Amino acid sequence: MYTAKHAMLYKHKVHDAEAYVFYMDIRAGGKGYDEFVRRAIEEDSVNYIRGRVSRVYERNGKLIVHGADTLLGAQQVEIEADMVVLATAGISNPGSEELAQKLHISYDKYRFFSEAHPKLRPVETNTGGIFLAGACQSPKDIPDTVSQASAAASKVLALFSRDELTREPVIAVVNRTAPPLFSTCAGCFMCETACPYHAIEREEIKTRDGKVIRSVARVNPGLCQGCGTCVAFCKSKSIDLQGYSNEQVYAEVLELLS
Amino acid sequence: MQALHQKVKELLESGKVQVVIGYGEGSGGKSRPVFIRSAADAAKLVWDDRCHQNLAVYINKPEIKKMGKAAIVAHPAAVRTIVQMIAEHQLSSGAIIVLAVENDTLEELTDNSSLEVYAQSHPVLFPPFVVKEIEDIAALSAAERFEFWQNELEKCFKCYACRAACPLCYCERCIVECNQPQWVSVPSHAQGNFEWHMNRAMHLAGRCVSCGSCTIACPAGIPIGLLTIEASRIARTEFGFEPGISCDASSAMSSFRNEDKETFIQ
Amino acid sequence: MENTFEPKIVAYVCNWCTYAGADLTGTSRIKYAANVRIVRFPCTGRIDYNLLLKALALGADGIIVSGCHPNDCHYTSGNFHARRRWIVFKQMMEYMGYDMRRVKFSWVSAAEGAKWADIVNTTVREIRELGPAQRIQNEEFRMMNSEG
Repeated sequence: MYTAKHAMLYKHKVHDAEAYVFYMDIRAGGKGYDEFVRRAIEEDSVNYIRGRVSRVYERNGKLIVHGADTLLGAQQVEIEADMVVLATAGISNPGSEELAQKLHISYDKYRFFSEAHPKLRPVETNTGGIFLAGACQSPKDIPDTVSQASAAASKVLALFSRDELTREPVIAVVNRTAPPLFSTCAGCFMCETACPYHAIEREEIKTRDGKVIRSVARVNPGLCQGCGTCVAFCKSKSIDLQGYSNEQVYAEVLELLS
Repeated sequence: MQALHQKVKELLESGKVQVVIGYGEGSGGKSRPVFIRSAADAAKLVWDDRCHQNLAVYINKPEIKKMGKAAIVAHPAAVRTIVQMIAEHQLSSGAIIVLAVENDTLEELTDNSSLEVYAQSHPVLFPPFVVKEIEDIAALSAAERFEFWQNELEKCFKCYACRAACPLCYCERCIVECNQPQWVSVPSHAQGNFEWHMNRAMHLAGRCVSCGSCTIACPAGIPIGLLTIEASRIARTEFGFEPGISCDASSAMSSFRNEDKETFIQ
Repeated sequence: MENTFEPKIVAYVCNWCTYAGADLTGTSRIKYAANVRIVRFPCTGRIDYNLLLKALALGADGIIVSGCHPNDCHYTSGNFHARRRWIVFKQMMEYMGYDMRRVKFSWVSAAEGAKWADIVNTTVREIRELGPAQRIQNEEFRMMNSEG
């Protein structure tokens, strides 16, 4: 897409110049995209040549581009160019993997971020409160980016339009007990590494004068999706999953087998 | 030992630490843990081949914490334990001075990286009788193993000395004290004992540094250390996870790899 | 003589894949053995190994644990964590001498109704051949839980 635009802009600035584009496939998906490429070819007379470039070398201060025109029976093409532009692929940012891991959002094998559901939740991620817009999700053009960004922004607005956040009914809770323990959580934070949603936070239990007594886990109710992985990991059984609590499932098993 | 006495004297005199956790002369020719609080008592410390107990278990005891900053005499397994405790957020870095001892060598370790380097270069070696026990059990058939553990665990009367001796059993409330639901049956019948030892092994999988303190502590003489050693062996062979060598390693059980084995899953 | 032993089998399944898969088995009118009692969990990651121990202690002759295929977890990684836990649990139980042929682990997706029926049927057949589960002597334990 950007190649057609480059060629077009170049022709607008330098009227007597020639622009050639070697291509194999033009994936002109989306509204008005194919028309855009046709316009570059027909109105701005950019020369599109279907074929690969085999060689680029310098001769008398010019760059000689050797290629084949496969639509004209693999005819050899030689162009004396002043400048050669390599149209590279759109790839994800090198730091995207690290960012995705930090945010606990999923990403595909090309390191583009994945949406929670391609049809039903196209701008949300698996982590509550994190939305996607633009080329971080896949290479896209400006209209697509703007529409996705608008969708993401409206999702954020919907989140803020209410005074209270709706959370999942089934979420995990770390218990709180009377002092001096405050919680039976031992603070090993195994749950923190196990949680797919980054929903486990560290809470410092302090005395009245602000001295930290101990650090225990706390589940962020807005982020927890209720998978219960932390519950099975907890050695001291200090986390429980509402709706699937240890007591409830145990009672169920007891009843089934009695 | 001379060097150890000298070092402890220095640490206490300079006020760098207020207490040193170490081994002392016990009754019946055994060693026992001692807590040295004045330089004059430094000579009470001993270090020889009777000193097996993992002293790291005392680090977080409130009584010790109250005394001030501590130094600890640690054999290689205890050093690994301390590293593991740091990785599990039970000990902040630099909170304790570790006097790592092995044979005639003494090293003072204060920061995380030196602890890691020491732990990595000093493997925990099993005494020959433990190696033999491991091999003997491995040679048994499934039915014989069942028989073996049933007979051994029958002796358990759930005193939880194994739990008290283990520095990595640090939960304020243990799963056995959880009674809603009663995960581990209270009486020491075969089922309850099985549940307790299975839980202990599962909890220590990928965490047990194989110090053997639980076996030493068991008054019934059950080789319970073998269970946690086996759990850690599984974590090592299946997940390539070695406990107690990295201060910021994630735990073996709460992490995963895409290529974890699943041949047993249909 | 014909084998008349009817094993009691408990199935711990995840809500999103196997539970839906078992539902599909029903709506597809595929018949399968009625020996299985299904307990639904949000995710295989929630399934505590203690529940497996308890089921065996309370008289189950076999257990099926099933969830989403790897990479299909509704919660992205619950089944990976569960898989790691099962690897250790299975080998620990074998080390203690327990016959782990009684505990089946499987991945059944929401579309695999036929696979679910197949797994239940094979498990029932195999456990029928194995006979009632070897029990750790647990009379006191049974008495304690009998009032419920």
